Amino acid sequence: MNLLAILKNDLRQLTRDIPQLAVLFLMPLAFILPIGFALGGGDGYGLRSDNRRISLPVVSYDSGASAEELRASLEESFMVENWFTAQQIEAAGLAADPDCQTPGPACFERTARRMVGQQQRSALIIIPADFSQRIADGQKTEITLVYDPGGDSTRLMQIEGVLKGAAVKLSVTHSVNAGFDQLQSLSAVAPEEMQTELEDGLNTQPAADQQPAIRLETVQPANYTLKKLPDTFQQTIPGYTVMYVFFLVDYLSGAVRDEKRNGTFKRLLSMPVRPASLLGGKLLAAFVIGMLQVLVMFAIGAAVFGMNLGTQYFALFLLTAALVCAATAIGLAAATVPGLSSGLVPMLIIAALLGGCMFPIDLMPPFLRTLSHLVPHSWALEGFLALIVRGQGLSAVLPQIGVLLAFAAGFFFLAVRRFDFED
Amino acid sequence: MLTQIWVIARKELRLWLQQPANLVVILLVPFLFIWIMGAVFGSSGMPTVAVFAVNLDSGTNAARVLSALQDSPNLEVQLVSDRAEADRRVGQGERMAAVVIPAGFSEAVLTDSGAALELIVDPARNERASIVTGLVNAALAPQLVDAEVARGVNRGIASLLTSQDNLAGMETGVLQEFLTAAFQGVVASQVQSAVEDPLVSLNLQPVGEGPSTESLPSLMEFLVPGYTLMFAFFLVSQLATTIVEERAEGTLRRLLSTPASKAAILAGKFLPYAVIASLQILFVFFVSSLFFDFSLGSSPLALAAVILPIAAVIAALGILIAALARTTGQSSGLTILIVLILAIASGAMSPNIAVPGLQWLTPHFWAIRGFQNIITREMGLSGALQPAAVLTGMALLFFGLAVWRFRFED
Repeated sequence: MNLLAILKNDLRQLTRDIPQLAVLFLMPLAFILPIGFALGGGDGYGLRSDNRRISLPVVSYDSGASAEELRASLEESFMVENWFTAQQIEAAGLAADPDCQTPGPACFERTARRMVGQQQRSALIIIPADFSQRIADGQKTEITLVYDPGGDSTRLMQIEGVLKGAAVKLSVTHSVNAGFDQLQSLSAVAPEEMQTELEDGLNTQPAADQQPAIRLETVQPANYTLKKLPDTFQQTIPGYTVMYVFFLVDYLSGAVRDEKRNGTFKRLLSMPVRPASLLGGKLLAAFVIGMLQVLVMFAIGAAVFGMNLGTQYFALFLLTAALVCAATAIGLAAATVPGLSSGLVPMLIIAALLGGCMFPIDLMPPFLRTLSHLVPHSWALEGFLALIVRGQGLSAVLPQIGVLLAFAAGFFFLAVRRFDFED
Repeated sequence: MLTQIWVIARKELRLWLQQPANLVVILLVPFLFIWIMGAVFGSSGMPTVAVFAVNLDSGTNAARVLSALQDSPNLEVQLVSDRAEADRRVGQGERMAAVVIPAGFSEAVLTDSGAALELIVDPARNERASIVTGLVNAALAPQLVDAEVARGVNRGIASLLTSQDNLAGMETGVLQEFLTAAFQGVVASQVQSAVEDPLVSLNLQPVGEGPSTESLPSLMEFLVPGYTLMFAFFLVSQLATTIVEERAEGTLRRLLSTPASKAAILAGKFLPYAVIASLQILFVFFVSSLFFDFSLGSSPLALAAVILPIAAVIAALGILIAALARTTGQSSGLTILIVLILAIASGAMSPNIAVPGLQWLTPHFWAIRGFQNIITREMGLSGALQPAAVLTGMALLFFGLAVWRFRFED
């Protein structure tokens, strides 16, 4: 029996094992599909640039300038609702409510409160009647944020943050104006020949085309090779792909364990097969599965979501091969550690988290960023992003390929030293 | 019957405790996960972002902007010497972005066209660029107000200075400096007080009849229940694998020859794991309340009313999977599939990608709802009743199916 026959046998066994196949090929999709369809992109942690999907009812009892300014700054970040339709009011069960007999903010507030209570909205904002007037007079005033305490905390924090920023902006604008007014009254004590000039100056309006004193312009790095901006999927699919390729560790170590328990290894040892080629068949099968996993993930990403794979197919192949080698070797090493089986998947999830598969490493504090280099995930992911998203070539990912192969060699060496066919 | 269940349960528990790996997975791993999430998002929910910065201007405004960036608690700034280096290193993905203060920045701030800071963003991560722009803008806000004031003052005294080149015997240059400083001082102190104690304050009011609160529920209170459940469900895998192994070794068949009934044997397997699951959830909650901004609510009874049925669901599901799987490979594959799909679909793993509709079918969803009713909504026992009822129903269903389909030998 040669290596190829063992490989064929292993693969045939796998096709009969539906749960295993499902874990290796369907699981990753379970991750991507909700992201793709339910949200139209994003990473599940609310870090997307597009937060306009958050509907935010803003109940305003004031139509003054400051109230409108506040509403405008909220509209930059959220989908602000100013009124509900008759259907929405009825759905909230308030059609017969006395407040809702005449359309107005009172009915709007009642409906919005009901919707927050029923967890259909995260929060609502109430602007009081004398809001603009009080600000103009330099008196304190208050906006109310009514929220569902059990609601999505990341959304609530976003709303609170935007609201606080807008409130400070209104206050600062008022006090800057007040400061200039103060200057004007100060000019009364200036020497007479200065007074008119000074007052004229302070009353001068800024040029119509005046830009903010400091602004932030977002640019791409110079000499950037990729013309098209990357889509959501290019940024999230590689992460989940890497995470799931490492589930091979669990598959392989489970398969080796099963063989040992059934005594198949011992039996096969009596045949004219070298132990190494026996194990080699298992490893090769795992390798083929891993390559297929990446192929399936990327193919679905490309076919269903229009994810762009870049142009560096050969480099992509080499990187994937290095990644799968590392996963396979770690799986073999894991099989030699007794009592590890049930702990493997949780550990793999932690490693994926640490390796940046779930959210970018840049958001981690420095010590975690350093730690992330200890897991192979971060290297593989970095390589995929370089090839697919940045459009870099093979030479750019040689370090990543090298590190992954080093992981593979190291764990393989460990595994071979510890592996015992007899136990 | 009860003694039979007890004997089997005690033996199971002892076996479980003999595997140190089990303890590590159940107690340490969830804590590690929560710790990483906590380290990333902090209690404010705002991650810290590492960026490069290049200062190509030697003026004071540029220096102020740079130190404002360096002082920002959410930016970790690393200086690089020139723009080409920043371009190259961001292009290679070393950092998400680089802030460039261009030459002539300090003077440009005072002109009508203003000054532009450049933010070089790695296009590979442009999805998250808004985080960086948000953080940089926040760090710059005080500088922006200062600059606007300086510009306003300059404009105000410009006509005065051009009309006379020698006022009250002073050089115009000296006069301008003096006036700008004086005016800025007046306006700046106003602005300072506006930032510290804004005219417009925020009243946080939980929906319903509750009183206003000091702050929103913490991110941890929102995330910890889901993460705890995600890892608690790995017990399903441990239980299922143990039973399938026993069946393969023939130990299960031997149990049948004892006077214990089928249901009693399965109850003996069920109990210890339900106990372990309860203790695990309690442990992770308790440790989280010690280390993170996480409260346990005010009703221990309500907490128990949710923890016990979800623990029962976990143990019953483990037995059900053992009933369906033939090999350990299958049982471990099946559980990973179930554990992860449930964690994702319910929103336990990442709350923003829950699958609407499907999440109603997951035990996680109901348990999380129960925990949130108790911990953040502070509804007490009344908030626990509905989730507890749904979870008890699920546990009974799983256990019933398991008893029906269970085989004691291959």
